[in-house]
Amino acid sequence: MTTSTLTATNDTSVDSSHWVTLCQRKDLVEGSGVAAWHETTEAQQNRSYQIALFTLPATGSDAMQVFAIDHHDPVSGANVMARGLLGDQAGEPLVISPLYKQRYRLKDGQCMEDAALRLKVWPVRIEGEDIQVGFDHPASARTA
Amino acid sequence: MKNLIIIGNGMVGHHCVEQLIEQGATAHYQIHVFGEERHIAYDRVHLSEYFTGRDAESLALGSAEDYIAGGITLHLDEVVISIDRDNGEIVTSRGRHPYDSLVMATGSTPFVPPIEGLGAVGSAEAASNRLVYRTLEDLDQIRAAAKGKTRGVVVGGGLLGLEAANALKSLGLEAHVVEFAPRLMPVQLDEDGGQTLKQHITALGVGVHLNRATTSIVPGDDYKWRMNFADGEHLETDLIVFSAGIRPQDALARTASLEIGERGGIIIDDECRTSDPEIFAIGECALWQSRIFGLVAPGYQMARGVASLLAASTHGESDEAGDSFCFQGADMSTKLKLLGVDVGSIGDAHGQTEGAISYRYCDEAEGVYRRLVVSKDRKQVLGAVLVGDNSRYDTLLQYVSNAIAAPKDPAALILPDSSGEAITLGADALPATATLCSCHNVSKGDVCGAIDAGHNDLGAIKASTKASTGCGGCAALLKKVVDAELESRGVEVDHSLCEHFAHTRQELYSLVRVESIETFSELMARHGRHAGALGCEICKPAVGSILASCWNAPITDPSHIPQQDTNDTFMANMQKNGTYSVVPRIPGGEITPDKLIAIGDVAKRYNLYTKITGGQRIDLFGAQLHELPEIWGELIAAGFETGHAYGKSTRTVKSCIGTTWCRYGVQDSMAMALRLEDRYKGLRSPHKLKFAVSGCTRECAEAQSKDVGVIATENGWNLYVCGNGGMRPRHAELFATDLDDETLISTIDRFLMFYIRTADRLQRTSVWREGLEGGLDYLKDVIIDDSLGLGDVLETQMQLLVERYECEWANALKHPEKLKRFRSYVNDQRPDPGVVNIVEREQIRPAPTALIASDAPTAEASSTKTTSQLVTEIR
Repeated sequence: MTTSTLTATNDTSVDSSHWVTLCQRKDLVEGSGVAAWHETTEAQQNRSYQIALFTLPATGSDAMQVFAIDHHDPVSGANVMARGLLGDQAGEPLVISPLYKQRYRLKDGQCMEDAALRLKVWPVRIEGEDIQVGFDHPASARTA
Repeated sequence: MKNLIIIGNGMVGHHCVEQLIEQGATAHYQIHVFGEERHIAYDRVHLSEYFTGRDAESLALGSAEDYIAGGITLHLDEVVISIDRDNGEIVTSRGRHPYDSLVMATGSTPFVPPIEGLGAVGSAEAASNRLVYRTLEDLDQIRAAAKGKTRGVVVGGGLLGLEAANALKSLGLEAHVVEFAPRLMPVQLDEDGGQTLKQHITALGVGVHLNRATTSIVPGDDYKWRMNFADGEHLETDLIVFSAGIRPQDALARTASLEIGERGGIIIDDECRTSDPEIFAIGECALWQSRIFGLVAPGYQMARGVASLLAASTHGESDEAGDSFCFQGADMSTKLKLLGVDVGSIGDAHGQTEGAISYRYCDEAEGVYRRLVVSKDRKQVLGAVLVGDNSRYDTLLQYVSNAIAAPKDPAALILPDSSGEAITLGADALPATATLCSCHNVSKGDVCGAIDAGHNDLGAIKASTKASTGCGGCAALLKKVVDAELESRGVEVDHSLCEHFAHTRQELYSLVRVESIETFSELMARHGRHAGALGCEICKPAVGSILASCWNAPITDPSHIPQQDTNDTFMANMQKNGTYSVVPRIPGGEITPDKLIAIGDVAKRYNLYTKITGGQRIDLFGAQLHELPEIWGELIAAGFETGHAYGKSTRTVKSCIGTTWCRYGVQDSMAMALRLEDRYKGLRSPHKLKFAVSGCTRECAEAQSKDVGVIATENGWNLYVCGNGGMRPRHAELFATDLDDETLISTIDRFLMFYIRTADRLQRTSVWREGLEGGLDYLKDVIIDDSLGLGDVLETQMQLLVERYECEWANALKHPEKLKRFRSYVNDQRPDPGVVNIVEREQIRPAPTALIASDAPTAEASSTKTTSQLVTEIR
């Protein structure tokens, strides 16, 4: 893996993102997902987030890609999305819910079977070995 | 614009309008439709449902909007009084309307026999006493008359009479049927058929009185009426519904001096023209070659034909239309459910063709009767009578209406089939001209056309062809044809595994074998539709399974991780709340007390819900992702291996205790079960595999419901294969007898590898076996007689897998890199706060979702504590 091959992938462009380092490059699993925890400060009502981080391996000229998407499966109510299978439909990368197999587009979280279902997505970038996710609020002190 | 008038807005009249709209006749005609009822055309076939919840609206066949949209003027509740043929006008209760062409679809009226005692005909009293069963208003009257009453009689045991009896029954009355003839449904059924039907109907609590001619009706003692019969018997009742046949409603035609048949009916020619060429008659009012057609399908045929004639005549050159219409009679076959009883009558049901031979099957226990009528030479099926079971109707009808040559032994068509595979005509055996839906005259060719036009599912095909939207009797057949056609078209497209591979699973298996492909990405690069594609939830697990079946490398190796299905990825079974269940292997269900204690210790330490499974082992529920390695560390230290409960692979070998303890055992079933489980553990296959070994013929291990079942004999082992429990149970079939230990193993080796090689993805052995051309005999040829010369190869391939077996959990625990994925969060130690349990029967279970705050998954753990005292966070 070269240092410059990681790209921010989500459509959501947040100009004033607060970039938070959630984990290290070595924590990711190629072709699969891991879950990360993130919570906000007291001033922001101690909100917490569970985020699934998926890594698509580099292919040919395409750089390796990392996606951040809600870990919560809205259909089952369980926090399992990071354990879903990665796939693609006509070249569009997807994650497939491990419980009831709905397909969600990685780039914007849209469910392919049900227009009403959409997972939250966040922009991702890499700084050195750090995997950073962009939130529209400052991070709490205790997040990595 | 010419004027076209349609008199009658029943099913047939309405169908004619629909056809005129469809065929574009509305552009050339100003169309007026006159109906004497208040309601727009409705479904008379399902009239009895009016008493079981359906209203006039839901029975309606069309809507006023449809008529308006088609530019058609609908006059309801307007009786046509006369036809002024000289001036080309009709006269109604409200005025006069000119016509250029006229279609009479006036239908029929119920025949009420002239019986004394019901009040003068035409009087108000007579109307409420002479109840009939024909229109919604008739039904309203029956309902009104039935109020507070307890018993009702239907005069007439034909099709409509039984429908009427059903209606009385659904009104809560004690229903009786009085029939003049010696049997029910004399037109459709023969004597035995009628008898069988009577049995059913009597059992439903409906009184059946045959051979009864009603001579008079007088006031009764206990009920309102007393019906006196010619034989001196009598029956008392509160109300009487007459359903003793129909009479064509030809009064209007008579006054217009059109030719009428001797016993009624407007005489028509093959184009449905009456004696006045500008006037057509269709449906039950029309008499064609001295016959009245009292079913909806022939009426529809006439309506369709007349509509096409009228549409074509506006094109100027009528030849151009190409489809000149010629009514040639109609098939009077009927398939009904009367009072819940199947009744079918096909073609020459009474065997009136010269020299006809009949076969009869009668099962008094089940109330099933079948009669088959064939030609003198037994080569043609001419007709049939079915009572109590219509499952063979479609097949028999196709034999009759498409003149398909009868099987060598025609009796097979009606005999119960002991092998469980009744003779059914495959959908491909039907010619394109075969009529599937006689109500709407839809042929197999029409259905194929609709599929070619891009309609790919049953709903779309029904909408575009109208097939199966009339009486619905052809629904099952239509589905069969559609399925078969879609499948045959899909040969190139649909047999593709998914959008990523244009191959079947079997083809991919061969490619993997032949080209020694060991990874998913390699297979995708060489044979995928798009070299770099990720795959999907269909191809990834399928290929993962193929690779494991061929090379048996640890599924946790980095190159194999991405294609494993959910449960294989973490080597545990994900449950509905995202936690996992853990199942250690307990071969043959045999376990030492120490091991049992070890399982108990683990379950206790990690607070796992514990349950004994059907496969003679123990399932531990509720483990979180990060706990799995610790749990397995302890289980492996106690001597356990993974049980592969998560994989499409060998599950268990169930066993009885056998000769070691049992006084009946004839072989050591325990030892054999252990040997089999040890040999095939970890074997990945298209679907899960279950085994069992029984130590004697008492079969306590239920081996005959398994993919591979072994039953001890005095001389060795009998092998059964392709059994299945679950949703669609199937008995395993005896495959080989009295095998010694080694032959048993080599036979199972071959059988399993051949299944792995040739089955489709997620196809159990039972379904695979049923789809195997040549059936069990073919399988025996390949496996036992080695007809393909594959025996050694299959055994060698199995031996490789056996040698490469390694407990996946033991392997994973040896590689810290593989364990990094077993963390609930990569950056936090906490357990998932979304997992909330309650305690029930002294064990945990997931809390009902109602107890978990709606935002629990993203909320702090503390927020869930307030939900209920029952809720206890487990960690």
